[in-house]
Amino acid sequence: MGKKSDLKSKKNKSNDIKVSIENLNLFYGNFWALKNVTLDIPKGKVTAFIGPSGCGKSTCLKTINRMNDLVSSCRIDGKVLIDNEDIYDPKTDVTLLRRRAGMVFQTPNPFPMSVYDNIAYGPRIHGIKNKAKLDEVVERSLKGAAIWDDLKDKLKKSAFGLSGGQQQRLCIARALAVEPDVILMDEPTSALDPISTLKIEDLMAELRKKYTVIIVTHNMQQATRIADKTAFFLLGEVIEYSDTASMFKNPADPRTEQYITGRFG
Amino acid sequence: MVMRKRFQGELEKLHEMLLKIDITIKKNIDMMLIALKNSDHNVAKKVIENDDLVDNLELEIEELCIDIITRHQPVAGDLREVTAVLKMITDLERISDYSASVCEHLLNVQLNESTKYIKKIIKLGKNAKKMFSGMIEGYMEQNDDIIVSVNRQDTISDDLFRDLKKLVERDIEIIGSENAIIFILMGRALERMADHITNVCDWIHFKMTGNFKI
Repeated sequence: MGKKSDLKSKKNKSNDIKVSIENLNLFYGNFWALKNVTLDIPKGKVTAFIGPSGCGKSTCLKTINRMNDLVSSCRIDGKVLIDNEDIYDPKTDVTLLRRRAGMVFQTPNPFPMSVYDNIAYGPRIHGIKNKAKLDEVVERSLKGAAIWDDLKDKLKKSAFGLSGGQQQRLCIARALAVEPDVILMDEPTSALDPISTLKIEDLMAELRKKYTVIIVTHNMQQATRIADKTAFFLLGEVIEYSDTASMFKNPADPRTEQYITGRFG
Repeated sequence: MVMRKRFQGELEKLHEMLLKIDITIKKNIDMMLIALKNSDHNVAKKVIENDDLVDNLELEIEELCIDIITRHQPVAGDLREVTAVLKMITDLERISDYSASVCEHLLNVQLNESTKYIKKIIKLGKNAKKMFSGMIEGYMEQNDDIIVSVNRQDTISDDLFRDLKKLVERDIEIIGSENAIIFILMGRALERMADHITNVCDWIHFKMTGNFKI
């Protein structure tokens, strides 16, 4: 009986976890950037990574879609699992992985082409040629990023003509176009004004219903507003990982308290 | 970290203002006991006047808390400190109201043979005073053990008030219904004062531990 219920709880746990990072160590040459990081990131929630500059939070985010593979001196040991599959397994198709885990960067980076082509770019690469199908993907993705009403009459216009906030939502729509499970955001609002920031935050709350969102942010008020769970990184280690409200009301580790109350960092 | 220093300075100012309101209320409780002991109407009137000082201090502290929240958006221990003070001052203001209320009732007591009942009421007042002093000590020393022990002394006030009610009920024919009501109202005010002190203790406990109830 005991064994049965143990198995059941293990199964439930793995169903709720989208990304599992296990004893992850990452080196850039001789620099030990991530130290024994272990995190279970829940499905359908927003998880924030916070910590001072250089603490490893962006590095950790990038391990989730293997962006660090592009750094030649980077060496990794440990495991990163998405839906219980090890993404560092040699058999993993990295292009498909990056389709499953889309990335949105700090500065909006639309391609030098029209709004429509920005969104259609990914699906075209993945083999969708049919115009009606592409139209549908563009509309669904722009609606998903809550920017359809703003852009439906500007689909043929250059993406460079949009405001910073619109460009960032376009980039989110572009990530949605290839139907990812996980959306990784690296300080997505740090280059935006407060109104555009709030729109992106509203969008994150919506995205949570369909996707697992992981965000790196320097803005702690942003973490408290949008994140269900928060991980605090310091010098490559995860010091504390808990429910956001609990961390910001009563942190368990004095180093977390010192950082979030502005005593260092 | 200039901003943190400025924030720290404002938290220290908040701490000083909280002590100021505590000391003002403690002085009022002391004077209330003197007024009760000596049936001194002049001292009783002074306590009623002083209640305005506490009301003004409450407003000043409230304003400072809201200002700190607006400008610094505190979190963790800082957030608990500011929210605890914001909640505490409502109870502190009520404690001061009750000492003024006891003094207002004292001005209306008409009976010469009231000593026996007033003595019981003084006992209730003394327990509230002891709890209030303990609460200040616990806050100053940030000592949760003291705060927990003060919290538990509330049952003494509950028992004393129950005794007073029985006594007044027994003697109601002798003292008359009007005086009986006044004695009960005085006792009730002091019993409620102890309740509010336990509320303040709960907030100090929250500030120190992050847990809501002792």
